Amino acid sequence: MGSPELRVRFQPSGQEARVAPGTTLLAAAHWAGTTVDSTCGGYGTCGLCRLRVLEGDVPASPEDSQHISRDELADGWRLACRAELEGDTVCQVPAPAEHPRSVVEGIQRAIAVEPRVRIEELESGGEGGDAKAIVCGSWQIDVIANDRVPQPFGVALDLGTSTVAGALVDLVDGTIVAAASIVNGQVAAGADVISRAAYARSRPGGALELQGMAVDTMNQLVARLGVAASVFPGNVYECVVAGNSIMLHLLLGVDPYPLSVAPFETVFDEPLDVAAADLRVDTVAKDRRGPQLAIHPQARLQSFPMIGAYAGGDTVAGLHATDIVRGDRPRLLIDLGTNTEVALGYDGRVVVASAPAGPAFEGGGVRCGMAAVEGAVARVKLGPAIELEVIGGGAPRGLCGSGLVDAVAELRWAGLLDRSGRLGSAEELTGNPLADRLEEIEGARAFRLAEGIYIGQRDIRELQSAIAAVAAAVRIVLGHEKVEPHELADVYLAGSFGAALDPRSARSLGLVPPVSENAVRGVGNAAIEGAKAALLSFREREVAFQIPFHTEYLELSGHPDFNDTFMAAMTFPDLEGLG
Amino acid sequence: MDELLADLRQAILTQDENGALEVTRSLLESGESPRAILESGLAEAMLELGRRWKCGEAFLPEVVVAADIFARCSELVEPALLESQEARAPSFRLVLATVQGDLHDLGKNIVGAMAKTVGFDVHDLGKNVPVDQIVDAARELKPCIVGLSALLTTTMPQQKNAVAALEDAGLRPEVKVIVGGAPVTQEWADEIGADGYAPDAASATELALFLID
Repeated sequence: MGSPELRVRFQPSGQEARVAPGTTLLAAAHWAGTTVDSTCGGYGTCGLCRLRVLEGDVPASPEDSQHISRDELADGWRLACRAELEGDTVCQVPAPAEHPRSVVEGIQRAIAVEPRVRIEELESGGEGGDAKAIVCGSWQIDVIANDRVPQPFGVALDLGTSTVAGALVDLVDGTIVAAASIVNGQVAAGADVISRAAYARSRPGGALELQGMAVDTMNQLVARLGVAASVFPGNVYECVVAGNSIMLHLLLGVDPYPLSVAPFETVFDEPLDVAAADLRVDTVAKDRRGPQLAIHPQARLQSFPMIGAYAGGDTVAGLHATDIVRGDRPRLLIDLGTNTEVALGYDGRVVVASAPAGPAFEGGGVRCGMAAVEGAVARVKLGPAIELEVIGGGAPRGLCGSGLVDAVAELRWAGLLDRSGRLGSAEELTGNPLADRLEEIEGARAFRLAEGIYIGQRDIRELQSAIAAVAAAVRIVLGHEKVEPHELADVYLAGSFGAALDPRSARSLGLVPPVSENAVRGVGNAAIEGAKAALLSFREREVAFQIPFHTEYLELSGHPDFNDTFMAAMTFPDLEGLG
Repeated sequence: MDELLADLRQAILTQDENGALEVTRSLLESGESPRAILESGLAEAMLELGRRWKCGEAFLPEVVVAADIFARCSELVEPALLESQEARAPSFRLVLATVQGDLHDLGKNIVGAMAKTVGFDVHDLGKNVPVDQIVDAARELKPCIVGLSALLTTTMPQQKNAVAALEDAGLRPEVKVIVGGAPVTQEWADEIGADGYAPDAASATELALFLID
């Protein structure tokens, strides 16, 4: 995306933002962290976001005349939400009126509750003063008698390739009243995004079929959330969706084929605000109605913007949740999965790359691998005794990603595995207390972790390739910005695998760069956090939707340094240096 | 002499570049047949490394480094081979390409490096290669084998298109087609009428040797 080239300064705080041309003054203020009053959410109706332009040319908008006198206009006063920037600007911001707000904790900061969904007094006339309107931005969703106005809810979703996660959110106090995740029904059409794209092409109407599966899944999830919190889905007035680019294309019924072959381009990348009862991109599907998300029939669905084919709305939402873009020290966000996104942010910009890690982190392609469900070994310690932590506490049935990473790291520390990733033989390791656990299975060496559970030499190679893909992406992104690993203030690991990982093991294998262990933090589903922030606050939403304009996307497939960096990253780190 | 050949193989297997070059020189000085150095020493070691790679004991970086050492050693042997009037092993030509729409070339590059070590004359067309270009190359270079790599489910159909286009151009069955890449399977190879599939570069090299045999 384009780089932000305009500079805006807000007085009296002196806070600055660099933004792209066409950005509104209100969005720029949000980005800079300057509070400007507003209750309408940026639609030019409340008239509260007045500020005065001191330097620079900002054309007046038609809405200005509704709220600003001619003299004031001449004096530089503008509605911030309507004023589009064309050049460098300095503005004077009036002190905001104090009004009490609910505040919720995000990953990095408190979020003031100012949703796009609001309950408004009906303007006089019509049914009179005994009813209220439920609005979402500039859309009127419903009109309800005063004594029956319901509690408004919203839902934040992360439409993932394998699972769909959701949070049902109270739009008054900002609390999550229910959270759940379920398997994406599209899994029947292929495990990864590329096979979904291939499926969409393999039959007439394939993309629409996948759209239907996605919406069915989302409806099941919303129904489940509603039941869990005793909330009627008809009282859900807005849905904010993050998701990878291919999922967002399919959600809106767009064939994602161009994302799946070189040069890997999105069909659309802007955030879309559509009717929840008619999910489609109207420029692509003109006449055909789209499927319906089963919330309020007039509700809105807002999708996140995308950065590129392999850095989608989920990445934008994760970047927003961790707020790594606006910090002044370099921070890294790694969202581990089949496609692993790596983002380095600081000082108002972010560089993103996507690494093809493959399924090993989810236990795929690994002999005793399994998903992180009951019976999976999630943690391993190889000491005098072998300690296994099994999900659900029963007998171990296999290894999930975090267990595999732990086990291989422990094999390194125990001296059974060299830096090249070769497992020693029992003869070479005589004297090592764990040597009697080395066996030969189908012509390859393997380590017996428990009865019937082995880590084979080939499994180690699978993990090594996955780690090398991520490490190569990290090295290329850091190298691009000339940032050394020790300069990183934080390394955030997103996703459930990231949260389950032991930072020491991850470091021992080079899955995270050599930073101090306390700098590595699991942040869980950052995409849902970001979607929730956007649902709860129109200010947060504007900041989040600015992120693509501050992002540089590095395409790694075909990148001149990728193959060599990938190969170099296959060698495990020297444990001496890690301490 | 056999001992030196064993030393040469060991040097390749442990990626000891200086050792390999030194032993190669000693072998040449002691009058060993250049062809034996190439075949019983260097190529044999690479085949063994390929076997170790397949069972996981060796890994990509070792294979790539060893292929590099192989190339340095065979440069030393080349002049002696020309001088020796020894009958050269016939050179079989292999054309490689990553199909259109796909930019992943690591696997294909390693197939090329491995195939060179067992004597193939490798022509690499690169990545994102359209079917027309593959057909043209097959017509002009007259290879024994064309190897096509596809790493994405969405680009696999290009392998099918290439096989069909080679048929249409009348170049089959003289030109054999082998296919590979992460999503590719033996069933896919059978379905599109390819002559073979290999799951990794070591197997691809063995498959190529089998097909020209």
